[in-house]
Amino acid sequence: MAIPVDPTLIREIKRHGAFDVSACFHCGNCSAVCPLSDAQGNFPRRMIRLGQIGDRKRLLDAPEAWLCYYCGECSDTCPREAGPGEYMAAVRRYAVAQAEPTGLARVMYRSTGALAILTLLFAIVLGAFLVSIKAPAEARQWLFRLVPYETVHNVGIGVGGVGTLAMAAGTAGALRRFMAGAPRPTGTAVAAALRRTVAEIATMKRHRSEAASKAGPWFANAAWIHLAIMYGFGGLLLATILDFVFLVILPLHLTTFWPARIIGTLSGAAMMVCVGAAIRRRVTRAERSVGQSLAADWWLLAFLFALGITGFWVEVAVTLRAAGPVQDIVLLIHAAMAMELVLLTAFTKLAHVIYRPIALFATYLRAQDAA
Amino acid sequence: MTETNTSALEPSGDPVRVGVYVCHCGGNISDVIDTKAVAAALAAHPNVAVSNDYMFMCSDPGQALIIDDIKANHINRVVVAACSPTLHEITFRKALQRAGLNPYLFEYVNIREQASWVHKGDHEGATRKAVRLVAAGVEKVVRQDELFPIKVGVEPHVVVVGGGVAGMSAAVALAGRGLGVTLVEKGVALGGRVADLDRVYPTEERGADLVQDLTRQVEGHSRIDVRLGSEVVGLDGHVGKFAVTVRTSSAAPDDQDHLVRAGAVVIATGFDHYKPAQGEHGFGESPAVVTLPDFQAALRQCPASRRGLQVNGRPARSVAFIHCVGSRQIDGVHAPQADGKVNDYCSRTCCTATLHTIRQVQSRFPDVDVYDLHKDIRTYGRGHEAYYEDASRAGALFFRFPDEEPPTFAASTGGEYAGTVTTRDILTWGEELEIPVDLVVLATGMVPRDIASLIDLRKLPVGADRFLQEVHPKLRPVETGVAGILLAGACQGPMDINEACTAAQTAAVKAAILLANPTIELDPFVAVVDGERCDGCGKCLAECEYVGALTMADVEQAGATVRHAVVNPAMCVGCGACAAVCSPRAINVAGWTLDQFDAMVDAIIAEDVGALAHTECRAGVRHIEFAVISGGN
Repeated sequence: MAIPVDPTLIREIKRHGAFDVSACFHCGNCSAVCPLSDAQGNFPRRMIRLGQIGDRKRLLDAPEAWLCYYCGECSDTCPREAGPGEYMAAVRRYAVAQAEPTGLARVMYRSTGALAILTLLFAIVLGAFLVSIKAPAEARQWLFRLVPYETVHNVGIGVGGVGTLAMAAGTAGALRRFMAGAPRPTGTAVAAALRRTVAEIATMKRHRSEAASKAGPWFANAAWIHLAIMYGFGGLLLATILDFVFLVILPLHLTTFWPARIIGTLSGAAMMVCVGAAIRRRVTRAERSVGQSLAADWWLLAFLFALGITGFWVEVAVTLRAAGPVQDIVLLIHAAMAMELVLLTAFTKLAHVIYRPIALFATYLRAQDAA
Repeated sequence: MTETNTSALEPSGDPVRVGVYVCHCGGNISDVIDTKAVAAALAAHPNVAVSNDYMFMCSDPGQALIIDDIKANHINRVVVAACSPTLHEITFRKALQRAGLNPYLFEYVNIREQASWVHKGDHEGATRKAVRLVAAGVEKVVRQDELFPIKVGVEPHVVVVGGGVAGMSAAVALAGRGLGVTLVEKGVALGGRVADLDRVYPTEERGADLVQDLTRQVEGHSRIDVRLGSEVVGLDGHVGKFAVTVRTSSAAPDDQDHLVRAGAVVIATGFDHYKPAQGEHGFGESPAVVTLPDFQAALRQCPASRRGLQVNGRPARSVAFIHCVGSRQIDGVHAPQADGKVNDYCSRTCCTATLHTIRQVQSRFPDVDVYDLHKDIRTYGRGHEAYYEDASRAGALFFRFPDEEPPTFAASTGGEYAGTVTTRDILTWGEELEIPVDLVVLATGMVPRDIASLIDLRKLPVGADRFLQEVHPKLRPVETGVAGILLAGACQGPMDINEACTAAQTAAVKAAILLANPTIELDPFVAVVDGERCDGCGKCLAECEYVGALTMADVEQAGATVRHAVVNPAMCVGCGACAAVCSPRAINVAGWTLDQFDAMVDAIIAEDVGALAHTECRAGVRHIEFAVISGGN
């Protein structure tokens, strides 16, 4: 069955950051150096060709884009400087945009202005929602004079709902796409693939082995930075959940749950330091993979950094028992941003949190089938 | 043994004394062959007076050995066993000449390529083989006559056939050297194919400007006589003295033919565009399929407007270019040409021409989707690759189709686009793809022009690809097998403008060298008739490929008129076809007589060099010397 060629796909992917990919003349050098290249030697050239001929379905159904850690070897080796690594990053952005049904992600990837406005808008909506739940009476009265309580509350819930649904849809869609055409797996195969996936995510062993070839101290190493941010993020999430459970749900009447506090402080510190290191890498263009930063890349780092600053501000304020409207507003901003980050997962670069594990799982499962 | 005549001495009365010199060639020869043993074995030959080996015979001291032996030891024949004659035959001939010996009384035996290099592991065998080869050389040289170069008078004028860029370049170069030129152009104007081109790669000049520049130089030159609407209908004579008949059809009936005497002829008749067969990639079946030259013309005429690219009044939003149409054809895949063969050669220019055209489309109509379907991209010239890379960067999508499965086009009825190109794509792992297109452009190659009448005038050599053929693609790239007839440009094979002008100027220089002196010296290795043996049967005439080289004539001999074969040494190439059919051995190629071959074969199969018969000298040694040949036909 002949495949119809569609020239619009590659133009769309190019707008997501693959500015030079048209220069690719399929020499295959990228596949020769790629640590992920299989026996057929098609990684990442297959992805480029599928994009060029406009085969949307096979491009998006393939887990390949999410297996790539963007080590940049391919781009360094490309004789035409077509940027295969940048292309893979663009495909991930394009895939994120395609997987959520609202079209917001597409707009945010393609326009820096839209990204800024939507970020702010979400923050305001979620901030107002938080105010509607729990805030000093003056603040609530001021807010509800502008917008009725029901509106604020329902829009907030709506945003939360859309964000959650998008995440769920992304997860389900990725599972369906990446597993398409695979034979029904056995329980033991699933268990084994899950074990491998968890092991890789927890240790980032492959990512570290790829990055190990690059010289420099640990804080300049992409894999270690990523690992620390990931654990920092996870630690903060855990601390928040623990706080919520011990301070809000359980009737223990504690003012501080120290284990959560310690986990949160350490995680936050790790994340701040490593987000700083990541920003430094992007500013100095330390290597090929950070040579070209889109607004979406800066957005995530800036967001995490702002989250860290407001978090520590609150922590210091709580420690010093400082109180007042400034502290309240910072707390509100922190809470609104944290909420926004989680709710926007399926719409932003953070979506790899969903897609990468599923892609790894699907690949490991298929590899077992093949074996 | 062959019957040898031992009745006479050298004409001078001296005995035949051969000097044999075995070269070590550094170690190239002596590491495998026992050169001392070879020299010693040859010393036993009854005609060998001196036999030595030496480290480098081509060096000055090596040559001095020969010269000293000629002067002091009265050596009158020389055999050097060394590397290849292409390297040093002339070196040693000159050494003989310096010593006062006829330079043709010399034989070169190649024991490097033919013995040491090919029998590296077999020292004894290689040595035995070398002995026999050198013995054969000795047997040949003792039967060698003195020879003298053939001298031919020269007409300082050149006829250039074809008024395209190649012909004009050659004419301007020749006239600049002070030679007269007759430039014969079949068409009504100078310029040829380049005049049809808009911009040319890689300089981006206008074809018309190039042509205009050259035309101005041609027309402004007093030594160039331009004959438009004219053809060459007669080509007699030989190098130095051709008699060329130029026919101008438009002239008055009694004034159409014009005889030009010229020392050399440059052929610059160019090429034709390949015309696709009916149905080849849809050609002739749909207006959406055009050739590259037609598309270039349409692109040139299409105004820049909001309507975008229009070809033949139809929009072309999506254009597929197919390479190698009419070139690199494969038996069984492509329909054969009129001669029953496919065009298996690469037309060389179409890849860059196509990409150059794609760049023009992209820069003038950036919204057009461009597809490029190729077997390979051969943008080999300086600056050509940039067109490929730029076209790619600007978004042209490349497909690579398998040799045996060329893309097909099917017109669509009522679809969004005019049709679909279907191709198997190696870059997509051999999958079949369907490309929506409004226009298909076939990158047609070059085919030889029909110049059969010109070729037939002198049986000019034509290659398997039907283009005119040079003597040697590297060493004699613009000379034909007919001395004095030179090739310039695409009549010889596909070339771009740059290469055609390079070839043309090379041909001009080659002609200027030929005609630089009042006489030309040619190698004396031509057929010679022994009047006493020739019975006038005429078998040789039937075998001769070279018009005018051999004729039958009545000659006076011992008071009687007899019919003999007569050789025109200026036109004979020394191929030996005549000698092969002459049963009385009356006709021989000087320097390569059948008697010499017989003796060489006998020497090679002989068990013992020392047992070879002593040869005084063959009977009837004649000094073959040609008077300056000055008459044309």
